[in-house]
Formats: sequence, C-alpha cells, structure tokens
Amino acid sequence: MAKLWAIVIKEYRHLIRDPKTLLMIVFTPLIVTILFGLGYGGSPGRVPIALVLEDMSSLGYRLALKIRNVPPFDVAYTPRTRYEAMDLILDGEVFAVVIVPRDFEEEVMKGRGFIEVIVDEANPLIADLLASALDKIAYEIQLQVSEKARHPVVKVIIRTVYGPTVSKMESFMPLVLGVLLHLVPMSLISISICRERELGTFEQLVMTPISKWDIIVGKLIAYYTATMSDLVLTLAIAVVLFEVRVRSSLMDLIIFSSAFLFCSLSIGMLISVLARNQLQAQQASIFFFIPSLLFSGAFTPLKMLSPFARTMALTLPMPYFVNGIKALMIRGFSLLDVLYDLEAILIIAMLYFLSAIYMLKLKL
Amino acid sequence: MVRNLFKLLLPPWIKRAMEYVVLLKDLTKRFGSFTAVDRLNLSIDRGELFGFLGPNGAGKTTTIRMICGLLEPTEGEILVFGHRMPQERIKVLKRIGYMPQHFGLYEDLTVYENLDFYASLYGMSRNEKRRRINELLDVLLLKPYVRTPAGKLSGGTKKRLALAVALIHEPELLILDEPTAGVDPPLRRMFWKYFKELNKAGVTIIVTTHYMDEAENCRRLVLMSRGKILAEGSPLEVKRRAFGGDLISVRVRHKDKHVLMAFEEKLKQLPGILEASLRGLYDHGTEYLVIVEDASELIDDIVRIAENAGLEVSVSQVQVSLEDAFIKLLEGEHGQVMGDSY
Repeated sequence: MAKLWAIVIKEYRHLIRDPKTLLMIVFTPLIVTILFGLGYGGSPGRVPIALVLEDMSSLGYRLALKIRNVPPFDVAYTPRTRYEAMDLILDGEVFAVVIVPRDFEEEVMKGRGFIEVIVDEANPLIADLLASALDKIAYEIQLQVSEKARHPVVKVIIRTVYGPTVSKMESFMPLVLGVLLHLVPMSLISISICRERELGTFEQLVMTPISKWDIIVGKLIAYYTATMSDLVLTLAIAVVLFEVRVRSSLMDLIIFSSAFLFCSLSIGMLISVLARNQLQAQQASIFFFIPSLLFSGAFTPLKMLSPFARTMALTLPMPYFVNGIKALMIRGFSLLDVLYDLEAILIIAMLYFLSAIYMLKLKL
Repeated sequence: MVRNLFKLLLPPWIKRAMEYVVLLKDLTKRFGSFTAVDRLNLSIDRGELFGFLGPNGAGKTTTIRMICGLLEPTEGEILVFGHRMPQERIKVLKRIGYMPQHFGLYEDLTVYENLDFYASLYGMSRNEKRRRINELLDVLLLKPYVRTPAGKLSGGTKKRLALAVALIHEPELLILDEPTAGVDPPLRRMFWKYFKELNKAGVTIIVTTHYMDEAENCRRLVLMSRGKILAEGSPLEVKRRAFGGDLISVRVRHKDKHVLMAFEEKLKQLPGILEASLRGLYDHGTEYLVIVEDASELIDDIVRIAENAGLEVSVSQVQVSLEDAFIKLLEGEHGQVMGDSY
C-alpha cells in the first residue's frame, strides 16, 4: 500500500512539474468547449437557396411565402428562369433551387400539381433537410386545399418529450464530454510507461521489489484524479457560459463519467505498455480515437450504421458513454436507467486494464 | 529444522550454488545474429569485490543486466543467491542494489524526493527512511543538493545520487555498471575508497569498468572481450597469465662478452625461470627480461648467480599494468584468430 502511494505521489509530481501536461489538462477542455459553444450555442446560420416562381397565381404566391419562412433556409436569389437558377447552383452560390412551375395552381386543382427541387447532392444533409421541409409545406398546402373542398383529411400533430426545446449546445454535450474524457486522458497516460523506458528510469524502477499492480494502479489513480478536473471544467464552462442544463443528478453524472474515464485511462495504459516510444504511443492513441469519434453515435444514431460498423462500435466504450450521457443530461434519467451502458463501459475497461497488467514486463 | 531437512534433500550442485552469490553457467546472449555474451562460466563468492573489465562492447553491461534479471539469457543459467534469474528475481531484488550505466532517476524530482521514492518502494518505514537518507546524504556529500532537481545536478553529483539510491535498502550485493565513467579523478578515488569500505563491511560488490587502473582495486576480476572471458583471477594472477609469470628486469655490467654469455646460460637453467631474453644494451651493460613464476622467491637467487660470476648487477621487478596485460592478452587472441584463418 505504501508502495502504491509512493507511485501516486511521484506521478503527481511529474504532472505538476511538466507544463505541457498541465496545459493539456486545463486548456484542451477550455478550448474545445468554448469552440463547440460558439459554433452551436448561438443562433444558427442560414443556408442560401434560390426560388424560381413561374406561376403567378395566388396559390403560387402562398407557397413562395411559406418557403421563405422555413427556418434553416434563406431565399437568397429569385431568378426569373430555371436556367439562371441552374447557373447559381453550379457556381455554388446556393445549395438548392426550388421551382414552382407554370400553371401550378391549375394543375393542383386537376390533381396533377408538383413543385420541382434541384439539390446539390454534395451536401446530403441539406438535401434531406430541404426535402423534409418541402414535404411539410406541400402537405400543408394540400391540407388547405382539401379542407376548402371538404375532402376528408388526416392531420399529423408532433409533440416533443424532454422539451420544450433542447438547445444545440445541449445536444452536443455528450459528444464534447466524450471527446474530452477520451482523448485527453488516453493520450496523456499513453506516454507514461514508455517515457520511463525511453529515459532509462524504468531500468532502476524495476530493480525494486515493486509489482505490476503497484505501477499500473498507481499511475491510474494519479491520472484519474488529474483528468477528473476535465469533467468539472467542461461542465462548468458549458453551464456558466452556454446555459446548458444538467437534468440528472450531478452525482450520477460524475459516477458515470468516472467509469468512462477509467476506461479511457486503461486503454491508454495498454498502449503505453505496448508502445516502443512516446511518438508511437501518441499516434496509437489518436488512431484509436478516430473510430471512437466516428462511431460514437453522436453524428448518426448507431442503428443507422452498417452492420459491420455497428458491431465495431459496440466494442468501443464511446457509444455507450454518449448514449448514457444523453440519457442523463438531456432526458434527466438516473444512473439506474443507464446501468446497461455503465456495465458495458466497465467490462471494456476491465478488459483493457487486465491486459495492460498482463502485458507489462518488468524487464528492459 | 524443516529447512535444514529440506537442504539435506537437495542435489549437491544446488547446495554448492547456494554458497555463491552469483553463478553463471554457459551464459549466452544473442541480439539477432550478434553474440553479445558467449558461453560465460563464472562464480562470484560472498564478500568479493569483483570486477568486469573490458573495452566498450565487450558484453559487460549485457552480463550485468542478465545477472539483475533485466534481460533474459538466450542460453545458459544464472543463479543469484541460489535463485534462478530472471524467473525468481522477485525473491532476490531486496538483496540487490543496482546502479545502471546511464542515470536512471527522475530528473524532475529533487535529490530528496528520489531517495524517498526509492526508500518507499523497498517498504521502509518513515523513521527508517529518514535515518537512512540522512546517513547517505552525509556519506556521499549530497547534503547541499537536497532540494535540487536531479536533472540540474552535475555529472559527478548524479553518480553520487545514483549510488545513494542503489544503497538505500542496505543491499547484500551491490552491482555497479560503470560507476566511475565520466567522473573526475578525486571523486573516482572517493568512490573506490567507499566501495572498499562497504566491501569490508560485508557487501559483495560487482563492478564493471573500462578504466584498467582502478580495476587493480578489485580482489578478483575477469577480462572480457567480444563476449568472452580472456582471463580470470586476482589482478596479479591476470598479469601473470598474460605474460606467463612475473616480469623481472636484470641489468648486468661486464666488459667481457663471454662472462655475460655464461651468466645468461646459468640464468636460463635456474629453476623457476620460465623465459629469459635479451632486452637491450646500454651503458656498456646488458638488460635481460626474465619471466618467472614468482618474483619474490627468485630475485635473491638471480643476484647470487650474478655476484658469483663477478658481475655488477641490479635486479628489479617490472611493474606491469593491467592495461599491458590486457593488450598482451588481446594480441594473443587476435594472433590465434589469425592463425585459425590462415
């Protein structure tokens, strides 16, 4: 026990006396959170589109008015012909063109009405957004027409839960926390053992009657408490500067994040045990981080990934963390509701932790 | 009681091994196709001050690291205090103090913090730690640097700190890899004085060096070159082995050539003389270089023969350095290699 404690104290001294690690622990969460906050916290930007109104009927105007008021879009150009509009889209001035064709109202009354949309598929997200927005508008117009003609109609009423609104920044918080509590601890601890090997301090260290557990657990404790400050810092900035609400109890959030932190550190520790030098360790931890980020479930829900990617994602701790944090922070669940994710994270963590202990050789 | 009974049941070779501090059997280490240590057989007794001597790349550090259990041998066996290395190293680590060739302490920790850290790893209590650290700080003159980060120390001070760490747990066996490399002469002398004191107090010391002069301090040593042992024994024995015996210079003076030649014949016939050769002429006299088994016994005899022949004579033992011996041995080895290939 005294040996373990000696390692912990020694690691603290390293951390405190090395300005680089201190900078990384404090400034990474600061910068990342503020960047996310500035990018997604304020009012969103608008996407320029072009509108060609070939039909001058009242229904045509009504449609045009509705299109102008669809939130993320901004009708930046109203060219007279579709050919001018095509030029705009090819030049990259607008992301999409909406064309209300000649005789639109007449055709609608005959039951053959349509509007044309030309989208730049290079931006599939915008194409999807626009398509759904126009579907909604078309549906509303149809409702009005049908109601006037006293045809039977079916209305869709959307209500939200966990609302009334979840701000952009709040919806990004699981990702921000995931990135910070994964990359920072992992890359920090990944150099801790191979640095000792590189500097030659390992040779003296392993001549003492110390066990592998002492070395690994001691380092984990030191780095765990040091990087716990990242969680506190990130939450503080998000809450104070960007008005993010934590809907669950803070204790639950901290316990859940601790498990994830332990997991990130264990992965980094295994990397450190296996790497031959510090550079290799840093590269390995970034290499590990990329699939974690892509398959985190923060960009696209896991269910929409291909089966292969989904299987791969399930072996990574990040998706469980993002899922669990979403449930805690946004939905306001308690720890008991995210036990599945917590267990998954702990199992993965133990796997890496035990492998690190097994693989560490007290030799040169 | 049970332990003694158990000892009785052990095979004799293990019993013998338990009396040695270090026993190497056919120890071989290869790195790829390069053989760093080649079938080394060696035993080091309790209480020895044992030296590994040789040029850089002779395989000294590799041997030392294998004895410490830091490297796994390719072939052969290592027993330290009767325990197999590296399999049973955990059982003997507490009894070994090790000072590596390169500074292996934490440069961002102060002198005191380094010592305290290592003392804790050996499981010492708080009072024990304080007593031992202060003792070592005094003996190794480290008091003024207590709060200095180890990285800011000069080369010699770093070596002293490394030695202090190696000694922190009062080990029975002290293994020092090039302890005096890059150390100035006064400090080197201090180190050796201290090593001898420790040795007298019962600590077995194994030391490597490529300084031939300081190897004279060892009670026993091996000369290594390219992974092999060239010679083994006390410094005196090694020198005798290199030249085939002690070297004596005999200077005689006489005008008559025939008298000199008669003396030379007699000299060669003297029992105990292994070789006598003309070394040179000077001041109307002649110098012979004589190799004998033991100089102390024969000097008187030589003087007697010369005086009986009516010669003016001066006899002195040639002080051979280990360096001379080493070069002589290396030449012999190279000659052999040449001979093999032609």
